[in-house]
Amino acid sequence: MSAEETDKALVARAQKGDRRAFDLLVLKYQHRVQRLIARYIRDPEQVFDLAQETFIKAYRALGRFRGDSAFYTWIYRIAVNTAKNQLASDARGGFTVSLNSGGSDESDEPMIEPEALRDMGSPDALAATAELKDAIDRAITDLPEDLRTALTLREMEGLSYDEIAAVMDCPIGTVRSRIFRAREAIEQSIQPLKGGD
Amino acid sequence: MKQRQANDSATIDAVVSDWWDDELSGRGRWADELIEHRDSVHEKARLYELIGNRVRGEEEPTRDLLAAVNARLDDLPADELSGAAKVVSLDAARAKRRQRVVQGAVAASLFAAVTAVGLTITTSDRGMVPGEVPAQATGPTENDRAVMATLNANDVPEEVSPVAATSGARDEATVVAANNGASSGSSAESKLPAWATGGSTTDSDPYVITHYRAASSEFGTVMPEVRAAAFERE
Repeated sequence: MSAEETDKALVARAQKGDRRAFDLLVLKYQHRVQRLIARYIRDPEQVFDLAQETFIKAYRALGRFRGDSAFYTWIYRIAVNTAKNQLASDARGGFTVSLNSGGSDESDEPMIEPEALRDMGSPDALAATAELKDAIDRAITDLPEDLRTALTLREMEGLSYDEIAAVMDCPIGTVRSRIFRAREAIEQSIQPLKGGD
Repeated sequence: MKQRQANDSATIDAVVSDWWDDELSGRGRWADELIEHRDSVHEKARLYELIGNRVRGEEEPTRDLLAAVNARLDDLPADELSGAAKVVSLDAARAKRRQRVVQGAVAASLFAAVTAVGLTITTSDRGMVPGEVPAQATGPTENDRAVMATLNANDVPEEVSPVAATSGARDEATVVAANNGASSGSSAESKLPAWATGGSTTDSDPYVITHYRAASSEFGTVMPEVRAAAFERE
């Protein structure tokens, strides 16, 4: 698939030491990885730590990634193994896995919080986020029906563009355009909150 | 120029939207564009994630995983970073894999060729003394004549068994193997079963009887060793 090719191209650049490429891969898959780990682990803090560890492990193991499978398959496998190892460790009464353990799943060092971690949970940040959420909700409601339907089928149902085209009985290019226009319209509507022009 | 920049911006925005949905076409050629517009990509991706969460009714994460990962990577020792020195790139890995496949194919071909030549030499030389000419039957052998004498279809009505029609049965007949001059050097004598010489109707095999009846007088010229061996199974 072409999306996989883009991921592999980013992996190839990351393998050559381009941190920006790996950064984009984390950006794209961070929430999916967290959602996956959350199926195994209930504690949101632990989910976050394990997701972080997943990407650290992936980065360290990038040299062993041959591209035989898609990157997301590979990163999902690391995430699942990390979550399962944590469950096993919990069952043995172990501590939270340390990010400084060199990728070992058996470490019993306590978790070390990186200082550079940005806190998105401050009152100001939460208030701004709440306002942003409301604005986005309104923008979604105000979308033309064809745009809202395409966006909903994509985000809610997880359908591919091809499947959405079949559902909406339109060309795939139209689906592509509708979803993009829906996102653009939402972004336009929240520009004042972002302090943009 | 401004129009060009606007078009480029719109293009990269559309690319990010497709990339976010795993629908980006172009076989990886957009990777450089995504990296080049990293800040814009980040901004769009965060917005798209937020929109998706609102549509799905999911809660927003309260901590920034990307920042946490990057902070952790910054703390990694330099030799642990995925630099080119430690890493075999995808292109290099593919090239190496291709090379291994070609080497394997060449090795397999060589092995097959050597095996075929070896088998040919072994088969043709087996049991042969240098200078010896392989024995070849040129007409009915003693074996064939003995059998045909007892199974003379011309003297026996079709409905009568050739075995039953032959009187003065012998229990067995001594025959000489067709390959009289074979490398074994033994007399290679074998005994015919009684049914083949008309001595007994018991243990007769209808298939073999039919075979001999249908065979021409020259059947002994075809693989006489096999035919002689077939009798010895009795």
